[in-house]
Amino acid sequence: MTTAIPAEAARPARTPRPTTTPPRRRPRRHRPSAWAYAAPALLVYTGFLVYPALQSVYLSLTSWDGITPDKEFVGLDNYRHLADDPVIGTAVRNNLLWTLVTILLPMLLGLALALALNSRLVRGRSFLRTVFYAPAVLPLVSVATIWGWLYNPTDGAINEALTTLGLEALTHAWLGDDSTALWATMVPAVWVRTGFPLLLYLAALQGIPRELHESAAMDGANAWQRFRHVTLPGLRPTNHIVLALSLIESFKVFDLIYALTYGGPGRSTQVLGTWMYFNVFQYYQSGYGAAIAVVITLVAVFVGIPYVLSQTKD
Amino acid sequence: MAATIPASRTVRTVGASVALGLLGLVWFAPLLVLVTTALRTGADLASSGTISWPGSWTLDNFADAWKIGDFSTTYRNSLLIAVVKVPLGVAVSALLAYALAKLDLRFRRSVMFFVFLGLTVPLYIAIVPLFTMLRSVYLTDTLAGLLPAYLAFGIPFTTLVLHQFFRRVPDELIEAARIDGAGDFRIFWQFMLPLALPALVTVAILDTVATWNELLIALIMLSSPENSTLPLGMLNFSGAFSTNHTGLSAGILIAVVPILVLYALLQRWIVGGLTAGAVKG
Amino acid sequence: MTMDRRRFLSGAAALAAALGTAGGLTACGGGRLQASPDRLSLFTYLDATQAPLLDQVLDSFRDESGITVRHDTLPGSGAALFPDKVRTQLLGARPPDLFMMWGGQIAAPFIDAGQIAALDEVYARHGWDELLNPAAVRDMTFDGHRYGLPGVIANLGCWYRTDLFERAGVSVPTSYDELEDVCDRIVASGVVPLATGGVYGWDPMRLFEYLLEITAGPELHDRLLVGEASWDRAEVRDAFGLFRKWVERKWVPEGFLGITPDVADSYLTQGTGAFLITGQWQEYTNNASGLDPELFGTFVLPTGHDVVRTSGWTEGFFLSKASPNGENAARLFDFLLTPPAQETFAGFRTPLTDLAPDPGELPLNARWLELGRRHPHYVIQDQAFPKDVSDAYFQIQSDIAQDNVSPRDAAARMQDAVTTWKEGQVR
Repeated sequence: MTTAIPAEAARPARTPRPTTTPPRRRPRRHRPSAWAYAAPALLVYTGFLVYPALQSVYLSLTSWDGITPDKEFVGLDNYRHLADDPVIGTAVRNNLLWTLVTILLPMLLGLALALALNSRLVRGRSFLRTVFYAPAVLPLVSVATIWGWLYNPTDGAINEALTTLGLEALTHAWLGDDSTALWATMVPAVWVRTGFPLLLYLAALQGIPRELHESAAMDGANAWQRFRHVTLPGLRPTNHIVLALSLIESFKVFDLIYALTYGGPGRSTQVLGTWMYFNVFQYYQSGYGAAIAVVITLVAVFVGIPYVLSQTKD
Repeated sequence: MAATIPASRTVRTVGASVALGLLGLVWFAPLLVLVTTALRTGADLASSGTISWPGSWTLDNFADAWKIGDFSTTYRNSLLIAVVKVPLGVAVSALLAYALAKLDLRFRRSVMFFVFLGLTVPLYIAIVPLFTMLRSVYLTDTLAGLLPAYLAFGIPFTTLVLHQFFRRVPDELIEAARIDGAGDFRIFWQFMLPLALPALVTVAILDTVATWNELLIALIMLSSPENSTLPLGMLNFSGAFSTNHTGLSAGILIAVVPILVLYALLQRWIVGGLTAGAVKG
Repeated sequence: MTMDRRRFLSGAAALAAALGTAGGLTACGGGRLQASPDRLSLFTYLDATQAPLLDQVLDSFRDESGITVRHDTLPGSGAALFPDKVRTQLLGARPPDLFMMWGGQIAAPFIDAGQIAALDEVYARHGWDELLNPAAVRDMTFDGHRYGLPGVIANLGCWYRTDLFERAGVSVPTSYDELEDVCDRIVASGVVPLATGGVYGWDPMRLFEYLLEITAGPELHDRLLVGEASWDRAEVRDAFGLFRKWVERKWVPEGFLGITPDVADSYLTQGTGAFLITGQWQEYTNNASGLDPELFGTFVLPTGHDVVRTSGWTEGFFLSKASPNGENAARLFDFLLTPPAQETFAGFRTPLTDLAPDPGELPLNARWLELGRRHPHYVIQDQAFPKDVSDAYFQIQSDIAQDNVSPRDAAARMQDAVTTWKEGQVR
């Protein structure tokens, strides 16, 4: 495996190449003993996640109400019903918008904060790292409570801040209007979810040796060039994983929307995750809810393909 | 120090620190609401609302919250779960990630897909089958019954993050160790783990937070108060028709502050854990 | 209340026998459950103030009968979460013998699924129909059978700030027109009249169902709620039109769709909202706010009909059909209806028609006990409908509030939702 990232990153700089081992491909020799390492995790995972999940695939082919012992087999009826359920359209659209915003902003913010909080220019880094990470440790239901207070149209902090800034025209019932409610749920999402990329980027920045920066600096590279040619390439694998994991997380969004808007006003902020939940748990339509879940999983699998390929090629 | 740093650098240090400090203040402001609400009396909150400076201060909410949330029980239970679950989960995931990244596991790509798939499974859909499974072995309403489910739902995430970090450890290092006579496990233990320390700490933090806040599985699996976990205890703050906001805020702080402290302590391991140059340049 | 122990016991034995057979037929999977002579399990959603009261009653029951009731509670879970939990509990290895549940369509799925035992015989034997508030018995009746023992009754009315009414120069309205006038004058005094929070839909629904009671009248309203009369009619359109008026005239908070009911409730204690449509528990909140109790008053919302009804519901105790402990359960039910037990647990929300607890700290509750007996209640809309129909209604309500739909289309859409529900039942 020759893609030790830092080496590649060092290209523009004077590279001190190690003189000993030349880069070479590992012998392609599968070792049965590797399974001993993989087995414990795979067994627990298969038994307690995959197996129950597969059962729900079966449920999606029934009209089970979630209570009655009998489950009537209805074939693909639930999947056909997806097409004429008007909420599905809203939910898919909301999911896409939500996913886009709540991936990009936390990633960019997380990266910027990680760079800043890793920079020797900033004092009190250790304290600030805790401050910026703090929202990420809150239970999402508490996050929703706090932001419900902040968004209060009458005396909430957000409208009051706008008024204080002389922007009274912009005050709005953010969560109480079909056209702004979804966007309003994204703000706390970004607030909470920036901690995750921040943490991963901070860890990844440690993998980029200081010498690379130093030698690049000696070669006369300015700050931007060093970021562009040393830092950024070094973060590439982290970008992959942050992107993949955030994509899935965003796509599965449930708690925050459930607690903040309950899918409302009306059904304007329903996403696939909440709509599945309402069907499975509240409408006694477990079969249909399971079908929604299967669709969520299928979509997410497609998202996963490029990631897994990028992670397994040599 | 200051003498050796050019003046412009000092200015930039101050500028950057102040700018980031201000941003930090804005970032923290919503939490400040939580803190002030926890520190005011219920009557003060009732008459002034959440977004206002408390007219009277009190620490009583914390004592009340401790009782209402049954924290002496729920804390013990959540701690027990976290202390067992997080190290165990990180350990088995690290082994799997190691096998995937460095051991030429057969069907590696398929296994990766298989594990990745787990991230996409919404918890809500697996919960009822999971419940019936655990019921058949009489593990519902036990803390031990939470463990397999928590482990299973943590494994994909932890494995994929660790895999990505393990991949970056240069093969040359491993080959060198192997030439020195180290076996797979010694390489894992003596090279991989120490080199991936920032990643291990990272996933441990993320895993702790997820475990600490998990509500749905606990809600469905547990029913006795003596087995309750923290998020279940938090439900006690909502009555049938009203919520005790001052108590709830105090309760959230009681529940969350230890995690923040843990993070504050552990983050130096993320940031300082990997000595420069340990990974080949 | 008099009690014939012997008759009761024989009745309970018959009940237990009936349950035994039924239990045997429905028991599925994990084998038969064992009856236990001196134990019962009860699962409720009572919160930290209510649960200890019930526990007191259960303790005295144990002293008298030797039966220990294990009471587990999931406080704060509400009607959105608790039924899910009961559902999985019933699938569990140790399902509870008894559980509390709201009446109407919240309990209905469990009855349709054959999970709850009918209590007709016990009712008949003890003459409970005579002892209990008829509205409460109706709320526990499904397809003509009595299924639950009423626990507490809730009545919704107007709870208001006397000082804010005074400042606006208004008094308690005696007709709907007067109420409109009251609202206008309260707005003029700089306060929101009705503090309501629309996040879950059910809080503003209390306004709509009140308006519908006015436009449709008791008889039609009841038929609408069971889907026997079409919603696509003038009375419903009028009610939607009035609802829209409340929003336009700012008689509800601006942006109320985005605030939660408990935030809306705080308008009352903060003095930024003049009244709520809520129930007896409001007095506890008032007392806890530390404000002078004199600042709060309550009245029945005027409808202008001969029989002035309020919205309300009943929460009851249900016996799991699979439970082998039906005999013990019947004894507990009987005990729960004794006056001392009622005074401790249900207080002013008792379903008994001849109990008069001492007002003490709760004069407004005492008043509502009397009002509730005088004014029958219609089933609150979100319990009259199954959840998916309620949610369809909530969406229409949200669209009306935002002026996305006309009252005419709203009524038609509402009928579509009801039709789907009714067709599903036939199927």
